[in-house]
Amino acid sequence: MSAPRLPLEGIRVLDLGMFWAGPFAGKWLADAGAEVIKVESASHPDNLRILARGVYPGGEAGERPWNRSGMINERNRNKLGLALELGTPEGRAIFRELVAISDVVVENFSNRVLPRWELDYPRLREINPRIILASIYSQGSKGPESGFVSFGGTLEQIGGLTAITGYPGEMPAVYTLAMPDPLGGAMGVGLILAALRERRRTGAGMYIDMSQRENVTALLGEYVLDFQMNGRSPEPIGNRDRLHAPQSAYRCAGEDGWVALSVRNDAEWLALCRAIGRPALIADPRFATVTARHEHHDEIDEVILQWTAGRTKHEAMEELQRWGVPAGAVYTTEDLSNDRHLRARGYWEAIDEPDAGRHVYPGRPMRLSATPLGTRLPTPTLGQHNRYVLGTLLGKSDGAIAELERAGVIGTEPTAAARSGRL
Amino acid sequence: MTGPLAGLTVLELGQGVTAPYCCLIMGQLGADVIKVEPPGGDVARRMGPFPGDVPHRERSALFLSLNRNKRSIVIDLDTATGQQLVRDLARHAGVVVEDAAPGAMAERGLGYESLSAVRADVVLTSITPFGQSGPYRDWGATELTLFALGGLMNIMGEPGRVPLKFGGQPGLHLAGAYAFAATQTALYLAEEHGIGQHVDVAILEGLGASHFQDLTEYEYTGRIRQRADLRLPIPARDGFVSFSVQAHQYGDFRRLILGEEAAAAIAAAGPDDAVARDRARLEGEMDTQILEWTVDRGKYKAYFAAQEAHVPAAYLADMTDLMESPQYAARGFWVEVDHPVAGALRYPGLPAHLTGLAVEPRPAPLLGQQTDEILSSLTDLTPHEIAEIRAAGVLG
Repeated sequence: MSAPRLPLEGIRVLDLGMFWAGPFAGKWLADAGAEVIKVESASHPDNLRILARGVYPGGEAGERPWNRSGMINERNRNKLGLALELGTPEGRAIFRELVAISDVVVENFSNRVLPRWELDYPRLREINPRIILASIYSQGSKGPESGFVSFGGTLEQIGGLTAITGYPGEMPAVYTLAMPDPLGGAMGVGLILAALRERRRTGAGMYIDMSQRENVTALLGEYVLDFQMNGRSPEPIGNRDRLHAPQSAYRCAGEDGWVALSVRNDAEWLALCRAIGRPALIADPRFATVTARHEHHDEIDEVILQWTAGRTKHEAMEELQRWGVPAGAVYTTEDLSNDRHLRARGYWEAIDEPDAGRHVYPGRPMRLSATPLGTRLPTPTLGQHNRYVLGTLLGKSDGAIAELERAGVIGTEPTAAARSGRL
Repeated sequence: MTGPLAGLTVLELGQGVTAPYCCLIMGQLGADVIKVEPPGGDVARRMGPFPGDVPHRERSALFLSLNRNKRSIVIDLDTATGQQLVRDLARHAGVVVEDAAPGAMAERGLGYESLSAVRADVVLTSITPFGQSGPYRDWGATELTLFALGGLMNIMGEPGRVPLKFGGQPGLHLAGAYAFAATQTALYLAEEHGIGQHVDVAILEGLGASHFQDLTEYEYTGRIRQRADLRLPIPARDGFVSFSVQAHQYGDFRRLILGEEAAAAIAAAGPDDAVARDRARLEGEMDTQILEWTVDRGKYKAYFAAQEAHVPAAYLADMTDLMESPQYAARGFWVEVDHPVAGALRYPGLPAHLTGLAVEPRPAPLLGQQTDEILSSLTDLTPHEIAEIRAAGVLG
């Protein structure tokens, strides 16, 4: 057997993911060489095909908007597309045939969906004892809140992140960065691969029952222990830090220009004083130690602001970094897209989509030296690979496939209800 | 005691958050994680918070939370003997995770070239702010500066005011989770086909990949997402709740707050109009009826009742809420672990249940707690030789 070009060649994944977390996991596995079949249906395409927030090329929805949404096209590269009605007995029978020849099923539905379709883990295991089912649930399969719906933004609140975020001394606000989604996707990937490792030893599959809410709280270990040790419930401290001082974002020249900086130790404090042309501050006892700098943080902020106000965020960042002060401009998406470092690293990837044309997308959180990853396939159009999956993988005849099409078990266009947003 | 990573030895040459979080997950899955600490220990041992704010290297909350299910060995990597010890240990390690500045490990003879020379199929995962190459490769960075560069701060906070970051260090933890997934990806190939490799994880690139929706919106339409008006949660008696009501859920929401009869009357007046009015009421946040409803119930009951009525809702969970969460109790999320110095504390467990997973939770190691045990079991050194190396100061 020749050496594989990609790490996960030979692994087949059924990706039932919708929105972000599930498809993110599927995309990672697909990037790494697994054959990932994105399973949607005409009645329930991935919601992001429909709820596109107007993110179409040039803002134009076009004739087949469900294939033109930037939201869908970023997250589903390197996958094959199957549109199969799992709400019908015929659709579920085909899915069971696919489970028999697959290694992994990944999903992020509510905990009611797979049992309703009789496709929960005990049933999947009967079909294929080697199958790994990864359920990226909101709050897990069991417990009083397990059936509750959530989004990235609600998970940030119930997971504890929102309570420690905000302007100090003000009423809390709700931010929706949806960080729990990529976090859940990445954890799902790591656990799936660990399960494949275990399967090599035991021959048995595994059920991965994840809680995205727990995933968020798991990032707060130091606060959880501080609460038990000292009874402290953390309050928002804006951009400041418990340890680093000074640390904040400072206004620069230019529209809404800001630069963030952190001083982690005395050496970086010296560097900052020199960088902003105030070497006399080095000897100032008000700022000599980190404790003192915390006490006089407001005064330091004033001094830094005088310097940043005369520079753009890019100039300030480059100059501070030249002196060895950790600094980062507050980037917009435009700034990030043009950043010289990411460009030099070849981070952005241009891909031709059948219905959306050529666009540039962000790359991956990892580079592999022996098996470099890239995009082999654009995001599938809805049901693009129905024939490959049913014919080549499952051996169904052209006639049988045509019959399934006529019966609406497979399709390539969303139903009218789906198009109108009833998903 | 078993888990899917049983039999895997992981060498952790990391400090702070990213590499330790990556290896914490692997330890919870049954890997034998050997944490190589410098003399004086992981910086997180000095970062606290500490009980009573009294610094103690075995009582740092950050360290304790990120280093469970690991063994600690102290080795001075700035000595030739120490570097050789790490190469000796690396023979047993399928995975090495490090977070030094790019090139720093190679200077010590511990880069990918050197490690793959002692073990061809080794997976070396390097976690850095900007990656192993490129113009910013040697730049310093923190959670804050990376959040800024990643484009995430620009959309957090109030328009016209200073942009914000999330509290805590979620960005660095997220990078640790990415490193875990990346390591497992490479490990699969290494164990199937004997092919090792160097995995380059850049925190900034991970944040960029997490920010895809706004980047793609800019690419497709030229629109740049900016900070929007603050979305304030709704006060309850004991905290705050928020509702994320979609257009088709306004009927449920109205019935929940106003009751059947009043809701029916509003619906009869014209559905579109009613939705617009509900939205305005919610965005007004302080609508008396909503406020009365949430204040009466308190945050948790309001969240629970809304969710039961199929209205997406959340409450702002603080530490007490999390520790006492009925859902977390039902899942057994909190894991009590007794530490010889810090005592019995409850920690966040693995955020997933896995069939057959039975890895006993172990407390974070004392500094160098397993130095002798690791050297005598994984190297050919005699007790006398170990004593000599220790006398030379290599083992802290």
